[in-house]
Amino acid sequence: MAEDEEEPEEEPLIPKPITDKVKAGYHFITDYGSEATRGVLKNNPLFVLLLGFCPALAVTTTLDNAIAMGAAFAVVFVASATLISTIGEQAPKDYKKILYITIVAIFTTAVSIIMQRDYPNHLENLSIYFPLIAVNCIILGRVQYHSNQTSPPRAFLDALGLSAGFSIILIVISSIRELLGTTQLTLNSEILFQITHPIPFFLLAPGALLTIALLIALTNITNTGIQKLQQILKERKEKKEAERKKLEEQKKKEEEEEGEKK
Amino acid sequence: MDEKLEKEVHASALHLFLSEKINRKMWLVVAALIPSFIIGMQYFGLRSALVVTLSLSTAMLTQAGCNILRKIPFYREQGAAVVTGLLLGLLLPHTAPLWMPMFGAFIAITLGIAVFGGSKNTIFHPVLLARVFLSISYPAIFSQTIWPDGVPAASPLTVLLTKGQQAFLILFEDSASALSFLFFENVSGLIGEVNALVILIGGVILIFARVIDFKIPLLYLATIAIFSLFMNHNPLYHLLTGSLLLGAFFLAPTFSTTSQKNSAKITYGIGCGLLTMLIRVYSSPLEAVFFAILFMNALSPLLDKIAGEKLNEMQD
Amino acid sequence: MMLVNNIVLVKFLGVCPFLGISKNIKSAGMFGLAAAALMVFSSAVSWSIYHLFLKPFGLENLTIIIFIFTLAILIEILDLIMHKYFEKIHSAIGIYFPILATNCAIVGIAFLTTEENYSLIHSLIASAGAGVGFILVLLIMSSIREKTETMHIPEPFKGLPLAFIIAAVLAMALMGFGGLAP
Repeated sequence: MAEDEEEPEEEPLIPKPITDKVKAGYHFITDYGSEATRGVLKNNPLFVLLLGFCPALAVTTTLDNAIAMGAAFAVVFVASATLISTIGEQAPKDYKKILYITIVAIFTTAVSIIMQRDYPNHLENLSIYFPLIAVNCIILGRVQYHSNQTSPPRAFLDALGLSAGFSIILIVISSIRELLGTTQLTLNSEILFQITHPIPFFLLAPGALLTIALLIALTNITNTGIQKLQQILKERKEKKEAERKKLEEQKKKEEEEEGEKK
Repeated sequence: MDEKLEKEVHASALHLFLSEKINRKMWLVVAALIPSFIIGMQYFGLRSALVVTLSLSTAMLTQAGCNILRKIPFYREQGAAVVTGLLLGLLLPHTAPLWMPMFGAFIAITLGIAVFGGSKNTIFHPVLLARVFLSISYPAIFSQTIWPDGVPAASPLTVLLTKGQQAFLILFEDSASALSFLFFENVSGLIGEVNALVILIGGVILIFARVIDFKIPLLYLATIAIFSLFMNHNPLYHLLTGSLLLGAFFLAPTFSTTSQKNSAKITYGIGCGLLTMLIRVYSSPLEAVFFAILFMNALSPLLDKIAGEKLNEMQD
Repeated sequence: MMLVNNIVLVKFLGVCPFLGISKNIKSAGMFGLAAAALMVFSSAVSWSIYHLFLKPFGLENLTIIIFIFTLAILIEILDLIMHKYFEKIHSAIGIYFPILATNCAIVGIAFLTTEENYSLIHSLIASAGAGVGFILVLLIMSSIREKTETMHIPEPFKGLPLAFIIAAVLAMALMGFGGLAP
């Protein structure tokens, strides 16, 4: 508490305890907020962590499927992540992996029962890829991290962010594939968009692979572009700093000369 | 930065010589294909000429575009583009819709050449890549045979494989006329397939000019012939249909330096033949050659590795 | 299973390790072998569990949990047994077992087996075929990728995009095998 050297002479407009709390609240929001949003861009599971391509390739023939998969994935992931981080360190070391796998499998089954009741069509469309959520690379990889490092709220937000990132990519891929492959983009049998000439290639297996290839290349280009931009801005800043320093030194010199003269 | 490096490399006389050699190869291939083009145009009419020209021009434009994106002079590697465009055009049926050669050429240049960093590097034959792309995307256009006068009919090869040699011979009057049809006026196939003689002559010229190795086409055709004998068919019926000759001489040996080891080449040739026969009999007869060669393209690095060649040495 | 419905390039199972492992031919081959063995194993186990236990008792809803749990445990037991009695094989392919225990391909085969309603022998053969297909594609992919190491690939396509494009072309070639039975 070394505030004694610079005691403010005036009373601050808003009393300190309140500004402290506001600062703490802001810090809280950005901290947890970043947990959530990290998974969308910076830690995007598909394009950055490079995991989870199996469903991305298999399920993205229609937009409906992508949304169904994304939603199911989100529920299973978020639930498992929260539960596992609550258990945290208490799990017996040797059986950790099997325990986690079982938990994820239980949630997957739960979601499957709900979907069977309410959305049987979607469940059927996802066929064998739905159960594979239980062994999804993203989930199993991430929950290890959750159990070790984070508290339940953080794990919840992290899983939410990653699921959002995953779902967004899935939606993008399936939109491209469905729109270019069949001429229409449909959501629950409502036509959202239409083009005139289809390129049926995208509905086929190789089309999925090609779409992902092009998307990753696109993100690479964007990343390099952003990096270059940052580089340019940085150089400009440094240039300005150098100029400013030069001016300051010149001023100092002039002042010294004047002082000497006197 | 790339330009500077390029300049330094170009200063080396050795590289100049090598790049000359590759261009020479390309132009020889083009020369070998021109007669087929001319004859095809004769039999199929102006539309086929348009198909091939569109393919050619789109290929060159796309190559120029890719060059600009990669910041190299736009006239580089146009030899490869010309060959690709020409060959792809010749591999299309004369009824192909006019956007198809353009789309195909675009795919061939971008996915087959540009993405791999240039025509010296290709693993998959670009024309083959585009051709298979089109086959699987628009199967209806390729599965139908339409004669120049517009009448659709079953292709001779399909008849041969599904109904047997007798039914095949009924299509023509007798064996001699069947052979002369297939050899000189085969209008039941693709634009470049009409006259087998010019294809053969072109292929032989390429072999003598050391552009392609004789083992691959020889083994390919020999395997097909042997298998057809097992099926109790006249081997010539198999050899002269289904774009086999074009495939054996112009598609199977790829642009880049293929396997150097003989054992790999032999396996490659035999494998092409084997796969082609299998696909012809069990799957789609008309497109068999393309799928088979594409698959063997994929297999060839593995074959090289088995034959003991180191894959990591800088090629060329 | 092997070519037409190729497990990696058509059914898209086991793609994650496929992209990661496929740069060195030898390790790719070993990985493929381990995967193939486990595929057959998984098919046998899941068939038995499904037809002898889950179906008769009407417990289909529990399929997911039981399959995954059992497979995980059994594979770990298998790993231990191999470590003890077949040390040589274990050092070659056993190291991949833990990763494969929760691999989409292995678990996917389990679910595919139940979906198709084959007899046990048929399922085993089908999964063996899938395994062969997996090894084949892995070997092809790794040899091609090794070859592309020295090429000047344009920047945006280096690494993963090129791998996907190669996979796409491979998938295209496989589509020609339409009528072949296995």
